[in-house]
Amino acid sequence: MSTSDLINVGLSEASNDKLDELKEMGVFADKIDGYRFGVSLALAHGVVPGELVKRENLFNVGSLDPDQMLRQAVEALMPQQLEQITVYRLIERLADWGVAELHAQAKAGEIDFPALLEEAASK
Amino acid sequence: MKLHKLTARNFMPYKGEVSVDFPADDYRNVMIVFGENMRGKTSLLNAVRWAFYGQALGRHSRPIPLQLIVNKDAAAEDDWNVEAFVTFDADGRQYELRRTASRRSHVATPAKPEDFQVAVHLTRDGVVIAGDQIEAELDQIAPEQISRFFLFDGELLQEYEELLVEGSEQGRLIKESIEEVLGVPALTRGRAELGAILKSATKRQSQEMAHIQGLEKQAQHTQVLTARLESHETDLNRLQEKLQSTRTDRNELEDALEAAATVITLKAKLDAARVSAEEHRSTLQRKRSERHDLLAVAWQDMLDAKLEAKRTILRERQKRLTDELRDRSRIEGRIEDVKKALDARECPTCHQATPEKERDRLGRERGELEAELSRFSDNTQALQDVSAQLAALNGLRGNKAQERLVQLDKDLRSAEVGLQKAENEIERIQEQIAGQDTAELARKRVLHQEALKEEGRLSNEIESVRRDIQKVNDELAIARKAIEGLAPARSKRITLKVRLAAELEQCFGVSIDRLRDELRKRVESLSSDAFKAMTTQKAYRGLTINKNYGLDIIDSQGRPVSVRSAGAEQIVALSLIDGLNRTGRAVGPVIMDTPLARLDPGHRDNLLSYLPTVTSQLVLLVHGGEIRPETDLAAVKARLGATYRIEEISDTQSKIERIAV
Amino acid sequence: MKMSDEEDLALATLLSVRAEIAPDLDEDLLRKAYAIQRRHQFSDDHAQSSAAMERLIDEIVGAQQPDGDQG
Repeated sequence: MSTSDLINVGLSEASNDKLDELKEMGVFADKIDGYRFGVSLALAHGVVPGELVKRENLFNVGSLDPDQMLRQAVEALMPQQLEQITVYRLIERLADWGVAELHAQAKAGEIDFPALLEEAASK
Repeated sequence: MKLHKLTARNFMPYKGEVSVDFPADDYRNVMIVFGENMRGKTSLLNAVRWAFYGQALGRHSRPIPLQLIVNKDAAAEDDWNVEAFVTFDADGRQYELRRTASRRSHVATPAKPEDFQVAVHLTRDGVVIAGDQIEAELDQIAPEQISRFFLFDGELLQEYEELLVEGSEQGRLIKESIEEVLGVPALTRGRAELGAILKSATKRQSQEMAHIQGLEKQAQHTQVLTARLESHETDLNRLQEKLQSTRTDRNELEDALEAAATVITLKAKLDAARVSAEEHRSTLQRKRSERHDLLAVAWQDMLDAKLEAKRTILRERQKRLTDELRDRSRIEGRIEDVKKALDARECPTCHQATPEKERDRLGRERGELEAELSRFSDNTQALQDVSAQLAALNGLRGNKAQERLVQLDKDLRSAEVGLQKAENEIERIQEQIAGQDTAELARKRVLHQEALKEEGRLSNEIESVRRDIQKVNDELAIARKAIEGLAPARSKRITLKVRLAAELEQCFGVSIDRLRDELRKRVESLSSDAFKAMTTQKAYRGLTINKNYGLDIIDSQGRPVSVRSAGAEQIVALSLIDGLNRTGRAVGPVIMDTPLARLDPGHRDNLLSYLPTVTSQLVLLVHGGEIRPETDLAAVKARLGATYRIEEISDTQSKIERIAV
Repeated sequence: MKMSDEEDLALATLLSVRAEIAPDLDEDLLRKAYAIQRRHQFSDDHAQSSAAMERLIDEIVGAQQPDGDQG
């Protein structure tokens, strides 16, 4: 990839609202916790999400990924996708999908985190 | 008289039907009923009492209203039928007594006794006794006035012990009820009615006399006296009513004050519940915070598993690259050695010139090695990259999030449950305490004291009015005598009537007191016998009864014993009860709450040895937890005919079952 | 388990008291009066027994003073 990467990552308007709700419901202490979990959920499921609709900025990349662990995980798990887009643009889209998925589960009842972790381990 | 069987249905804590067979044998005539609390045992007693007299007694000997006699669980299921059925024999005849109560059809939920219809059936040797004769028949066998002496619970025993403290309030009450009991109703009733007949005849006489010359004064005097008598009698009725209502108020206040004692315990429980709730809340807060913290890093666990596969691949690659590099190094080393050997032109070990053949060989070897070397690419960079990647991915490790979350969720659930329980407890206790206002209680205490004083005052006034009545009656008697002597022929009838009524009334009146004295002597004698049989102090001569039915123990010197132990006190009370019981009737069954736990072994054994000999059947209601059956009941073991145990199923239900002797 | 002992005692007491303080009182009258009371002793209603008592007395009065004024 030759284009430079994002300095700030964000979400679609819809997912941002959902992330707000997740925080209000008390599922996560901070939005950034939900964001990161969303990324990991999407990575575990191996989804390839599309572009963000009505994108809104949220976090500085340095705040989101201080030890570059997310970057390395994405690079290790989705090398193919990274031929098309930059790491943090991919991370954004993963987060977008992950947050929407968490929100859907929270609305249906309580999110069963142990089950999600179990699933990721068995995949 | 002997009881055969009691069957009760929906009676107090006994839902459905329970039955009890009384011992039939003359010698093995003792039955023991074990129960953990008062309710089940007192209810047995009440079942017999209700069957015979249509009354169940609660605290302070007050009747329990019918709607509260029906078992609560049955009532909740809309089954308001309660029944007590007793079979027994008396004077050689077999009796069956059944009392039933059921809800009146137009009443949805009974809230007062009138909402029930009650029916009583009695057969004697198979023959049905007419409804209006039943009471009379039963009264021949087991008079209600003395029923409290053969169906007695711990509260009665307590009351009698207090009686022995002369002048105490309870003592006064007991004295009144005893006098009522020992005063044969026929006599007291007769006197009252004759008094009324006499009064109206006297009035009539006065009216007639008023018209007879020479007798106006006498007539007027009699009229005045009669008027005064009526006024006193009205006062007496008023005072007695007031006394009754003051007593009722006082009992209610006592109940309220007793209930208040429990408030202090409840407050302690409330504080404990509040502390528990606080602890649970703080646990919840802590655990929720831990959970949030854990969720903030759980993404690492999510990825850890997926990355493991990748790591494995990288590790294999790393190993391969490392092995390759090592092999490469080795070959390079060997090439170096061969080069050195060629350059040196002599063997390093033996220092001889290297033969041509050897030099060729070395040259060939060098060629092979260099060819091999060229096949290895320089993977140093690749190895570095792989190692770096691996290192990065190794940095992303899990936090055992899954198992920790499962545990946290468990802890949270348990804290939530604990909190809910504590909050429910707090609400429940607060409801119970509500309305228990300390200022209110202080006020009640004052009112209680005042009520006691008022009762005392009224009792004294009543005594005083009675004395006045007696004085007026005496004066009237004198006046009558005077009139009689002077009465002319045409007033003979009314005069005769007055005389007859007066004489009858006098006979009845004097007989009452005489009979009471006679009966009191009997009670004294029987109580004294009982006491001598039960006391452990064989030097005592017996008991005497004073005018307030207070009892004195008489020692070997004929003097009253002044200081009595608690054990002796109970034996004295029991002796009085036994004396009253046997004065009121011939030998029959006794159902009693035992004070065994409070008696010393000597008195206990004496009691258990003595009572079966003066009763046809002895039913002992024993608090299961307070005694050791093998030792404490040893004295009665030989005479044991039946043993039962009452078990509490819930706080609204108990059951009773026979157990091995 | 009869009450009879005590009742006999009550009657016996009545009779001995009569002999002592009202020897002129007709013994039969006293016995009858007692009998009425015994029969009604559980009733709270005094109307019946009271009326019976008075009738009893009136009968004796009538028998002893047939010519006197209506008492």
